[in-house]
Amino acid sequence: MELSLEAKRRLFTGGLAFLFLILLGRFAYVQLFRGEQFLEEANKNRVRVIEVDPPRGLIRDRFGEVLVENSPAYAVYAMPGEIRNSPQAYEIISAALHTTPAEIKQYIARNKRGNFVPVKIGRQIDFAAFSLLNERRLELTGVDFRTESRRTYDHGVKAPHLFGYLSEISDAELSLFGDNYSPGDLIGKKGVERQYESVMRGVKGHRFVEVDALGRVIRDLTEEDGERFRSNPPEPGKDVLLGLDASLQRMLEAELTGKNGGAVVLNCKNGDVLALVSKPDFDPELFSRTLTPEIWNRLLNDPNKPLYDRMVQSVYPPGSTFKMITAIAGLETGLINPNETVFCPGYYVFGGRTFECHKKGGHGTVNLLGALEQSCNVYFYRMGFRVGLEHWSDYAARFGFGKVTGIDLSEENAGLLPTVAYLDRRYGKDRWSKGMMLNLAIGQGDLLVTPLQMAVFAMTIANEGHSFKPRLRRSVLDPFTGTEEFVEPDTVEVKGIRPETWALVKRGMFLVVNGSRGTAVRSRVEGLVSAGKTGTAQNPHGEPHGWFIGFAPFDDPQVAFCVFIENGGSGSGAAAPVARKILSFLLENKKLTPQLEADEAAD
Amino acid sequence: MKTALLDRSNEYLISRREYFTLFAAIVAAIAILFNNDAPQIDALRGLAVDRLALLQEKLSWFSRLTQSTEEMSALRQRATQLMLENSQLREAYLENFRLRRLLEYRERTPLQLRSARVLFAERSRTPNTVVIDLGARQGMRVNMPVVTPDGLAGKIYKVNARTSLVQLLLDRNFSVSARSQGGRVLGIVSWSETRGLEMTGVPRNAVIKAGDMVVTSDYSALYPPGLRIGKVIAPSLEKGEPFMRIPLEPAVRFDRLEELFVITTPAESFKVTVADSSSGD
Repeated sequence: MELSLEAKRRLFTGGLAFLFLILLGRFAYVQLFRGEQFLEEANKNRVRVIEVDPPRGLIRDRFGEVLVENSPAYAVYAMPGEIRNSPQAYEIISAALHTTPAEIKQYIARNKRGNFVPVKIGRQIDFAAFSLLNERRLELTGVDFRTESRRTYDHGVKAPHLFGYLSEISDAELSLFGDNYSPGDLIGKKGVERQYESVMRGVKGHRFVEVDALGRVIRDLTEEDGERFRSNPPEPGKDVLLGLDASLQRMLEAELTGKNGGAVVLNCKNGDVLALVSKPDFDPELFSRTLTPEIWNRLLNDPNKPLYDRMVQSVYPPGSTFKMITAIAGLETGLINPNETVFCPGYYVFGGRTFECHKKGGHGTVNLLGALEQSCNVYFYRMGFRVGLEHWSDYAARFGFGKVTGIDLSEENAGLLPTVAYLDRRYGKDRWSKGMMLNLAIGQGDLLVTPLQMAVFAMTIANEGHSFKPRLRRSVLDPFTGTEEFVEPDTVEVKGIRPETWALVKRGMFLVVNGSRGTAVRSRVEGLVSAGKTGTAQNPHGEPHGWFIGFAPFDDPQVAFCVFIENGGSGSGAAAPVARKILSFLLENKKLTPQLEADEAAD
Repeated sequence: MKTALLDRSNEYLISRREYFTLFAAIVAAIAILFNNDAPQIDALRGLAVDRLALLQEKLSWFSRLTQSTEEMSALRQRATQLMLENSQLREAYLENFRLRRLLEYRERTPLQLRSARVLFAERSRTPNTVVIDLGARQGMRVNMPVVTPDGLAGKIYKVNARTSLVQLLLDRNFSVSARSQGGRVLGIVSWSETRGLEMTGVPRNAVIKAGDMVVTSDYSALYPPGLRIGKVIAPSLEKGEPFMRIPLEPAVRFDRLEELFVITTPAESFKVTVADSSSGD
């Protein structure tokens, strides 16, 4: 059928009108129905917030020497809503990150928290891979590159238990302190890093950039583009200065390598931890790089338990180092007369059981000072039984046993101080033997302490009850203004002990080191008078543990210490020589003021 | 009868040509509206740039008639080649000191250059580019480094048949792996309109001072090592920054780009090769 010209014209005009309608319809749809959504997306799309991480504060020793600092680490982020689904882009990224495109896609899908929340797809990548991705960034829409910080420990002090480490923030932590953190950020998980997270962290900064439809940065936005685009620089974290003496710590770390155990050295004047070494340890760098499951499992399953801080987290029977508690409790209750003598034949029979002294032939006749000097068990079996569990545990509790010392480290172990209530609970009322007190009096049995508690114990005796809470942090330094804020030490008073009692116990400890029959002559240092007490703690898992606690100089105590060697055999053989190293190091390096030989007659 | 009908419809088409143009325009508009960044549209853009370039070439030929174009171009090429060799020799000299005791040797292929003329610049756009008169037909490929006798100028970003777009060092999205010449300070050099050219991610304790030259690093994936990028103005440690930013003065004068050289040697061949160190002293 032939159409008339007029009909053709109409059809044509109608067709045009129809096309216009489609066009209009599409405009209307875009503008009226999806307009708001598109605008919002376009704004999100157009303006990108670039987070600027604050520089983390450093960890320094008491003299300001840097122990833990920051080095660049290279990270790659993907913006889930922007990363283009181009096979080539995924090829480039996966080749640089040594993975496959499928794995990257899966990872992004699993960790996505929103289209415009970046997902960290590569952490601590090497500089070559970082270079490659940066240089080809124009082909990698939706991929962002950041230079982040990594903790480095290039100053010869490892102290992994003390410094702790950083790790990626967990979801729980993110919801707890989310304001200053984003997914993928690092947060202190252990040690000083965790304890002083809020000091060292600083505050994140922001700046705004305008990007085009392909996610390419067009320009930086400034406040001229609107108040809300004003960039704010990050607020850097502050440095934490520890009371630690890096040179002493270094010396001790080297000295104790190969041993299971450690040492704590405290400043008697304020409770500063001058050194805290726990061996075996691990390389803290392992945690500042990407920790592989293999390395983690190896550390976790190592029979020597390097992840444990033996000084703070592990508990052991203290052995003879605890005899001072029995002595103090006896003297203060009047149940021990210091001049009363006991004959030690080398054993003591009680309730049909034989309790042995460490000296097979016996110590002969000893009084309190002689019993401390030679560490006579028989004397303390008898005196301990006389003092009784109630008094004994009361005095032990006054010294803080059974409670954490309150050092600024998390996961401190409180140890175990047996009391009547505890033994009733554990064994049943009246179901435990009074003979238990014999073992407790010489620091054995159910009693458990940390080496740190024993170092604090030594400090408390040295200071005659005027003690301090042990602390790692001494001051906080603003690295840009140079202002250093010192932290006041927390004093701890052990009350109700007479000066005569302190004098007697200290005298006993003096003889341990300086007496002719003392058990710790191996800790003696020429030109420095010190006092101490050895301990050899029997344990069912092998050789006895070796303990030595003490303080120096005797007349004006400046340092107190505890050396603990797991399965070391004995305190005098394994621990006292380490104490000698500590004291001679401090003396040679003029870290303490020696006193003149106070009492030549004591020899 | 048939001819008459044809004549009539021709007449009809001619008389209604405005309608047909409009019709075509609407169809095109709809097509563009529905396919924003399709490769076909991109190809169309490339073609337009190519045609424009051709025109520009014809015009510039006239303006350069008086010059011995080829001779100059050859001289510049030679100068650039010498710059590159010089740069590498300096590196080798410094390296010799550093690595004397290490049995590590580097083998570098002489770099092949192609001279290119800048047709026009699109400096205000993102990315900041210039168009050069070499394209796919001359063997250009994306990511080929572009230099001048003074140093690194940029890289090829898009290749058309007869022309290519060069993304300049002064583009917000340009990054290059860099290090200080003679030193071991590594970082990424990029440009921002607020801060200019700078090397970032440099540790705070890095030893670097004003006047030091920053060159492409051995870790670069696209550029031969040792190409000059810029001179250190003054290292600065801003309060809020964990690392140093090192402002640079670009080695290349970007205000007068007329001739550029494209390094056509494949990137793989200037990558460092390390010899087996067990071969003895």
